[in-house]
Amino acid sequence: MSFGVWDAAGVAVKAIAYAATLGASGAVLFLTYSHSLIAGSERVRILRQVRRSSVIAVIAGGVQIMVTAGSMSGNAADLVSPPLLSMVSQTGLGRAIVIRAAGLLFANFGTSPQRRPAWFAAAGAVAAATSFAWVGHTHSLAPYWPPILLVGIHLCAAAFWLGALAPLLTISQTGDLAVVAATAARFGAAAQYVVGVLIAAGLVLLWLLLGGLSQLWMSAYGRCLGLKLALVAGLLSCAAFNKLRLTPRLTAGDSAAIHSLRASIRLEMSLAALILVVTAALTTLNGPPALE
Amino acid sequence: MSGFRLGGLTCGALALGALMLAGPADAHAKLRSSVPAADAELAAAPQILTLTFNENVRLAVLTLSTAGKDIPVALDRNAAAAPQVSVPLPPLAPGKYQVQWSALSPDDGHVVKGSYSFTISTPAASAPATSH
Repeated sequence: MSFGVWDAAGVAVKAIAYAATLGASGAVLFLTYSHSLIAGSERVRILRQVRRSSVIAVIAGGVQIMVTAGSMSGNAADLVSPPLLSMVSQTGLGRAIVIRAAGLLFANFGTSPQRRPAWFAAAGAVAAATSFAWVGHTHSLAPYWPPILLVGIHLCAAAFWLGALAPLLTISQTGDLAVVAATAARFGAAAQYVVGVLIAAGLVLLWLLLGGLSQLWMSAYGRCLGLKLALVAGLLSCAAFNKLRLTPRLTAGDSAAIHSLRASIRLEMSLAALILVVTAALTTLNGPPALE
Repeated sequence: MSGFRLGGLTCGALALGALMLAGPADAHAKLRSSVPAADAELAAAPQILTLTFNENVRLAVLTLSTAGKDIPVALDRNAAAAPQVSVPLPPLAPGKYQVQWSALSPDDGHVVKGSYSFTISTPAASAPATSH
């Protein structure tokens, strides 16, 4: 298949929507379960990140609708064509973007200074993160609801993991050693289970959508998925290094470990960005072999 | 169980349960057939162009052109999603026509596109009148 400028624009804006939404949702979840450890000034900085990411996610959703409208005719003037924009807005994509925006609104209200119950923000974060599951290839499988639930679980777990990276980096830059160690330890303790769920859900989905292991190298979809798996393996290695090597050093009071933690989190964030670009390509360009 | 855990579990279950309200869909839509067919050579100008897909779509763009000139066609963008879309054609002169279309899946907003051509032949010169 040919890969044109509209495809590139579609993949890019979807990757930005993934990153901003999972970033905002995951940061809200992070604030919720780490609340007692995070000081006021760091909390304010993380909340600013949440607000910024939420705005970017909503704008990316709007641009996604515009790019879809423009891609239909291949004419840039149709990016703002009212009939085409209206047509795209009425699809599942439009519904998913509305749910995402509403979820992010709840998440932001839930973390406002007049703090509402923690579940209020968490509910918004979960709704926003799972909004991507309202559309996609899994809806074609029969029965369709178990794989959709798996995608929802996969997305929640991804938000928990990837969305915690920016707040962890913020705390490692401003917090004292004891706070950094306690926060990294709390995140690591929860992440070992969450990442297990993320991988388990991902592997079942991989099996359902590939329709056979050989499709991993015989189909364009499978090769793209293979690239994602390789990047996830790299991300897992970084996470394991943080939990098994750096966190014990931080807990023991080794201040030099903070520099290594920052470098490792930055590497994780770069790998996460690549994974989201590959995922955007995977969900946009090719249909999975099991559905062909 | 703490209020937070109970609330978290409830909101997680609600959000995931709500996903089940999203209905099934097909993978990317595919064009199954068209009338006139791709590369068809027609003796008479067609009055209607019909595209048949493997799932419900909404036809968003339809361009008909000949010799580099676009022929205006009346496309109803408000039509409900359906697997078959028919568009009335204006009177067409003999020539080679290029059809370009884009359709939108109502379920996931995925765009599928395609193009093909058909030819309307010049009618054979009428036979000379014979005298008796």
